[in-house]
Amino acid sequence: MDKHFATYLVFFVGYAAFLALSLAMDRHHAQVLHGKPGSGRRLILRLTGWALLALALWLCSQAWGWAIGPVAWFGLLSAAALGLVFLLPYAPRFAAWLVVLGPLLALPPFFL
Amino acid sequence: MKQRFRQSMSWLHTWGGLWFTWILFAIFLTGTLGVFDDPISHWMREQGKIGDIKPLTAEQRAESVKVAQHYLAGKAPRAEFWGIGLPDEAQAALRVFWREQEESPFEQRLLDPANGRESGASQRDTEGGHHFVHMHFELHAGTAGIWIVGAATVAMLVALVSGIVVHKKIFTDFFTFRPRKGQRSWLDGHNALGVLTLPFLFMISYTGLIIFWALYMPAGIMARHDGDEESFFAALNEGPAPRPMQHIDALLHELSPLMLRGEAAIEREASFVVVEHVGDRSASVRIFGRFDPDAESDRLVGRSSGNALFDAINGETIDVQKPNTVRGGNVLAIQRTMNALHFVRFGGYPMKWLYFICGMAGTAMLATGAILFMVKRRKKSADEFGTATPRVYRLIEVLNVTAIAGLSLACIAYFWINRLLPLDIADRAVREIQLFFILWLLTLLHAGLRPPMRAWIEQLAVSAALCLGLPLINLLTTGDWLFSALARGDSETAGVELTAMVFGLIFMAILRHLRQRQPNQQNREKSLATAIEGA
Repeated sequence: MDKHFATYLVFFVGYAAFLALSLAMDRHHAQVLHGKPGSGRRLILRLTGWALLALALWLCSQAWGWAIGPVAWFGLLSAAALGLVFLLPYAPRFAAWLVVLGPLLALPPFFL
Repeated sequence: MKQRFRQSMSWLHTWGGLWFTWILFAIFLTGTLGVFDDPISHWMREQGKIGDIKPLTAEQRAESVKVAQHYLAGKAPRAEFWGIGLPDEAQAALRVFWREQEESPFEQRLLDPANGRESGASQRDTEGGHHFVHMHFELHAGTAGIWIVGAATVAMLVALVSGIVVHKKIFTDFFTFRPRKGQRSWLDGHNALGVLTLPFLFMISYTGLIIFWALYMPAGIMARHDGDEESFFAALNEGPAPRPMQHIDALLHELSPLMLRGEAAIEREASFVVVEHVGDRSASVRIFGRFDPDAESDRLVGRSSGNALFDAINGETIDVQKPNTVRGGNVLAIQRTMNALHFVRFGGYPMKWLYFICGMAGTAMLATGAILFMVKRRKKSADEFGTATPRVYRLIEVLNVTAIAGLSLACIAYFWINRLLPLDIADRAVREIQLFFILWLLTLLHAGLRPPMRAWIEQLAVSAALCLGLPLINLLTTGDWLFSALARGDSETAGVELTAMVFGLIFMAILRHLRQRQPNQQNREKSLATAIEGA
C-alpha cells in the first residue's frame, strides 16, 4: 500500500472510530445529534468504534509492517483524535460530516 | 488512603510540573522544530534558489581528498586531528578541519575542490536547523546541558504518571473540550492535549533518555573501564583497540587511494575523511560513507552509513563496518532502534509530520499547564508562600511569558536574523545564535516591565507578525519567494514558509481570544469597583 495513501486512509478510519465512540457518549451525542443515544444505538456505536480502531491497526501493519505500523497507528490516532476533540465544540455538525467529506476529498486523487 | 495518594500526586504534578515546565517547553518546542532541521537548513542556506549542486564523480572525490591533504600538510603537519568534508548537495566547497592537540579548538577552512585555494562561503554561513537540535538536547551548554535536559525528562515522565493519577476521568472526558469557560477550558485543553498524545509523549521522553545512557548511567564504565568511554565502546563494539600515540615519526600514506579503497569496502560514496595522530606511527584514517536517506527507511533499525579504518602509514585495513549494521549485541541493537524511534529516522515525510503534530500538541500541553497554574491563582491566591506569594506569582507569570511567548518569538526571529544579518561578518553562524539568545533575554526584560496581559499580547503579536511576514522578508532580502518556490516544486522552502504562516494564524487566533477576554475582565473589575463604592 502506498504510504501517503495509507496515511490519509488510516487517519480517516481513526477519525471515524473516535467519532463513533464519542457519539456513544451522552454529552457528545447531544452535541451532534441531540438527545441521548438508545442502548441499542450505543452498543452499535461502541462496537463500530472499536472495530474501526482495530481495522486502522491492521491497515497500518499492511502499509508499514509490524515494527513501524504501531508507531504510525498511535501517531495517526492522536492526530485524528486531536482534530475531532477541538472541532466538536466549535462545529459539531461539520465534525460529523467530515467523516464523509474528508475521505471523499483526500482519497480519490490517489486513483487518478 | 486513596484520596491522600491522589492529593500527594496532585501536589507532585503541580509543583514538579511547574518548576520544570519552562525548560520542558523549550526542549519540546525546539525538538519539534528540529524534526524539520533539514528543510529549515535548506531554507536558511537558500538551497532552493541555488539549485542542486552536481554530485562529484569518484575521480573528482579522489582529487578533492588529494587537494585537501596537500593543504593540511602545509598547515598542520603534526596535528592530532584532520577532517575532510567532501562537497555534497548542501555545500559545494571542500571543508577542512584540524586541531593541533586534543584540547585545542577546531580550525576550519573552506577550499575550492579543484585547486585547493581558500574560498569564502558559497552560501549563507549558518547553523540552520541544527541550532534547534542543539538547543533541544543540550541547550547549547555541552555536557551540563545534556544533564539538565535529562533531569527535565525524568520530571516529564513523573508528571505524565502523576497526571494520569490526578486526572481521574480519562475515559469519560476523553473527547471533552469546553471552550470559553475560563479555568475549565484551560484544564480541558491541558487534559485533551496530554491524554490524546500520551503514547507519543511516553515514547519520546523515554527514548530521549536512552540516547544518552552511557552518560546518564556511567557506573558500569567507571567500574570496569576506569571511566574510559573509548575503551568501553571499543570492547562493546568488538571494534579495533584504540591506537595511542607512539611518538615515532612516520610519513603519511596518500589519502586518496585509501578513500577509494574505503568506498569499495563499504559499497558507498565517501562523505568524510578523518585522520588521527598525523605524522605519528599510530596514525589512522577513517573513511565515512554518505548517508542514504532512502536505504532501509522502511525498517525500524538504527541506520548507519558505514565506515572503513586504515593504518595511515602502511595503508593496511584495520576495520570495515558496512552501512546499516549494528555491533555490540542485542543491547546496542535495541538502543539503536530506540534512537531511530526518537529521531524519526524511518517512514519519510508522513512520519515526520506525525511527530511534528504530536510534538506541537505536547508543547501546547506544557504551555496550557503552566498557564493553568496562574489562571487558577489569579482568581484566588492559594497563599503558598505567605507574604511573598504575590512576588512569587509575579515571577512565575514573567517566566511563563518569557518561556512560552518569548521563546516562540525568538525561534521565528532566528529565521529573520538569518536573512537580515550581513553575509560577510566574521563567525556569522555563531552571531545568529547569539542574537537568538539576546532576543530571548529581551523578552524576559519586556515581560518583567509590562503588566502580564499586555506582555502576553505584545509578544504574541510580534511573533504573529514575524511568522506571517516570513515570505516577505525572504522576498526582500533574497528575491526568492513563496510562489517561485512552489512553481519550481521546492516543497522544503515553501513548506517552511507556509508552516510559519500557519503558526502566524494560530498566534492571531490566540490574540483575538485574549483581546475579547480583556474588555470583559475590565468590565468585571469596573462593576466590582462600583459595587464596592455602592456599599
